[in-house]
Amino acid sequence: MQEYLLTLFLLPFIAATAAFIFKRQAGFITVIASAFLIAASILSYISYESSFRLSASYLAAPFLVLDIALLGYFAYIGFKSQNKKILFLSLIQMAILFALENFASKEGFDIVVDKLSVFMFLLVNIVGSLILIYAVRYIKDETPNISRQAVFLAILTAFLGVMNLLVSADNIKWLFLFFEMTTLASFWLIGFRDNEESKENAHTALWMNQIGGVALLVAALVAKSQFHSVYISEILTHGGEYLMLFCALVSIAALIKGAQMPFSPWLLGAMVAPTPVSAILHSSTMVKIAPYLILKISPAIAGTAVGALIALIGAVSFLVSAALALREDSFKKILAYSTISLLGLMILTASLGTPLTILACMLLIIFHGVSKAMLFMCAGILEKKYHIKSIESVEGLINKAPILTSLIVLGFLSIALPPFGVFFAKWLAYEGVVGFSGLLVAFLLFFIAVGSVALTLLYFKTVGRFVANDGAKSDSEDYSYLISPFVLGLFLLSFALFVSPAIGSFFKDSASFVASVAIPISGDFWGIVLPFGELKFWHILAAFLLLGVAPIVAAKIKLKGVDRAKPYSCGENIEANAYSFYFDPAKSVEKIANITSAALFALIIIVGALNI
Amino acid sequence: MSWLLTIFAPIIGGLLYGIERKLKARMQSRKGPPIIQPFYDLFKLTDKRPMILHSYHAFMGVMHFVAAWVALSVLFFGGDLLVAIFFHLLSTSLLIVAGYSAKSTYSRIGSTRELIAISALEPVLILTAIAFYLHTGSFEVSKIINSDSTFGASFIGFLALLVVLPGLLKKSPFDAAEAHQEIVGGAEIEFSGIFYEAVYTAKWLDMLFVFTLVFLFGGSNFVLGAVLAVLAFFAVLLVDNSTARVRYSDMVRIVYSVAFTLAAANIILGVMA
Repeated sequence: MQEYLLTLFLLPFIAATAAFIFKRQAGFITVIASAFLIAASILSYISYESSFRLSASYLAAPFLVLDIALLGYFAYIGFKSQNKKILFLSLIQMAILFALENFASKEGFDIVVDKLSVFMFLLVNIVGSLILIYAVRYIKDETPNISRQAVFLAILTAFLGVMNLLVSADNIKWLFLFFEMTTLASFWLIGFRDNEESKENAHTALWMNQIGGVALLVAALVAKSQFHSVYISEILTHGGEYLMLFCALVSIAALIKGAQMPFSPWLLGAMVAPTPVSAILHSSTMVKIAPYLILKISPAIAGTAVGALIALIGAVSFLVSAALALREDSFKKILAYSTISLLGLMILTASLGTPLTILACMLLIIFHGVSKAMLFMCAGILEKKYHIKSIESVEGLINKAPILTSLIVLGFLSIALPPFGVFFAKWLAYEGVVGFSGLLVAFLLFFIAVGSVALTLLYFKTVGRFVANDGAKSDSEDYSYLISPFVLGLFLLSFALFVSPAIGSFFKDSASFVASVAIPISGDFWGIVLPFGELKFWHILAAFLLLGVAPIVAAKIKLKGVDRAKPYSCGENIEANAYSFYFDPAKSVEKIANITSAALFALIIIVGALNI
Repeated sequence: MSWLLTIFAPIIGGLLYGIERKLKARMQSRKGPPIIQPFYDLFKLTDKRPMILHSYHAFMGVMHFVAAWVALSVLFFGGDLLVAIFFHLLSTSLLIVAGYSAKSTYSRIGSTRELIAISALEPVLILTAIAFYLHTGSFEVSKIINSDSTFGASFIGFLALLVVLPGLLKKSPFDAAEAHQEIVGGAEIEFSGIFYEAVYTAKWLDMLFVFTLVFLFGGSNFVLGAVLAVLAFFAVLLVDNSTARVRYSDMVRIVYSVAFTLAAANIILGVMA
């Protein structure tokens, strides 16, 4: 397995350097690297036998230098842009970093590649690489400047390497370094377009994520001073009265990376970046750090007050973000809000830490990643090819670009209804949440039930715009753009059909590792059996035909021998049109949700510190 | 039995619809159509020259009907209640998509209203399913109909379902989605001939679906279940005849403040017990 891991860890950086040097061949290099990364991630999963451990204490000094350089750079940004928050947070982090040196730590393994890491590799490298391939085409329309194109591709490629390292790091100081590197990638790429708005949003993303960095460093401080260890797996098994504080701090870093309210503005602002950035960083991979970290600490926080508070934060973001999205008409904004919302659900399910909810979270991680990556790529095509940003201007697109529209419709259906993965996650969430009793569970159920329909409302009103059909015929699709989204679409469809064996083997396997108990479900080709319910193959097949196949057939089919009529207009001869529905919750809703979440954040720290 | 029920579902649903029309007429002191009027309509509609806006719209209408049938068969074959509810949602959403695809103002407004109605009704249905779980220990219909009646234990949950019934059946006061007098039928307006028949039959199936949910409250006591279903049937008709339509936004408000609150209280009581 080592050789595959080496590929995953090093190839992205080598490819990025190569792309940076050989600017003209950047696209070619990126595509080749993508192919290798996809292969390496799959092979690392197949060849996985037991966890791979590596001790690399000789890297401590170089990494410290990197830390300081990174924080120095952030401080410089803060100083140059006169942004006090950035400057202040960088300096604090530097101070804690030096304080950390006063404590000694036991020896251990810095890199631990376990089942969860391998699971994340699959998401990061397969979805990430497909986005890279898409980015090669996209960036040509973004800027004619060859060296800027190369820089863009290089950052994106290197980012995949950082993600691979991040999900393998067991040393919290390493985790901090990679966490900050993703923040840096985010900062650079959000500011890529280099105008006022993108600069401002990049700064917002920077300071908000740096709070996460501070939380991680304080967690490291707690770890070193109380546990005399920097190794997360060891701390989690060690227990003790400071464990809750440690978990609380790590979860705060996770929640900020996952853009949970009140830290959602950074992700919404990130939508000014070129679309591949939104796809790779802000929907399918980087933000998945949030559920990943929560999953990692879930055995420790399951059933505790800290776990309950994290679940509540997720619940609030799940519901409120979905409701707030109903006022937006910008396609990318809608996708961004729905990402925050579903991240909330992932965090909720992960923090409950029961076998079924962990399985639900892992399903969401993969399928949300695939669906959102596809939708964002489609958003990029809309923007670059058809110059469409608002869902109000997509009318008739189904005639112009049937494949693109079908993919968008498929993308939305796949995060709403059976037989696609996200439906299973919701189903498991319901059945997993009811598995244990208490008032909290009842409240979480209300949040899930209402949040789910708010999302359904959002998705179908958007789908409604895309299927709006004026009967005109014309065809103009750019197939070079469509490769990656098409592959993801095929993936969604094939997974929909074979979802029950996939859940019964791959997901169950990975989830039982995280939960460290057996998952009480069984799934094979003929269906899935849960403790309280079951889904049969014919259900899956029927849903697949109705939602996976029917919309595509409907877009292609031309009924013969049937007369065409004009729509009824009450005898009026006026051109009338109905636009989409918008709902703007009272301003106070957003404010209250932000304040509540902020209070919950504070409570997490207090409860963690008091070890309740 | 499951097979028979599923295969004859459209016929049972049609009869139910015929009975409903008859009763409604009697309540208004009219003679009313014969009970098999829906089937006369069926023959007439299939005989008409079909006219469509475009194939996408017509095809999705037919899929709506198929999905409604599937949702019902999930129930009849004793499947998972949550899955059945999701299929019901799927079926409605296909009609909504069809409605949106037409370049018709009425159709689109109807679809939007339908969607908003779902956002109020769906959570109550989900909470109803969870109430069944809390009292029977399973989401599976086959287990629920072999358990004790949940009617007593989750009485307020039953009331909650009762409140949303008119919405699910698109009956007054919650029929804004197809309000004939203002948006001439909403999402259904652009269907005609055989394609309208599909949408029309889907309505019968929906009716059967909803009253089967009511029936489940009887548990293994089928007589109680049947009585509850019949009473609910009457109650819905009576309310339909005696109330005026409310705005769609008011409907959401009413459903959330009354039905959702009741269903939520039911869950809290169930969890605490």
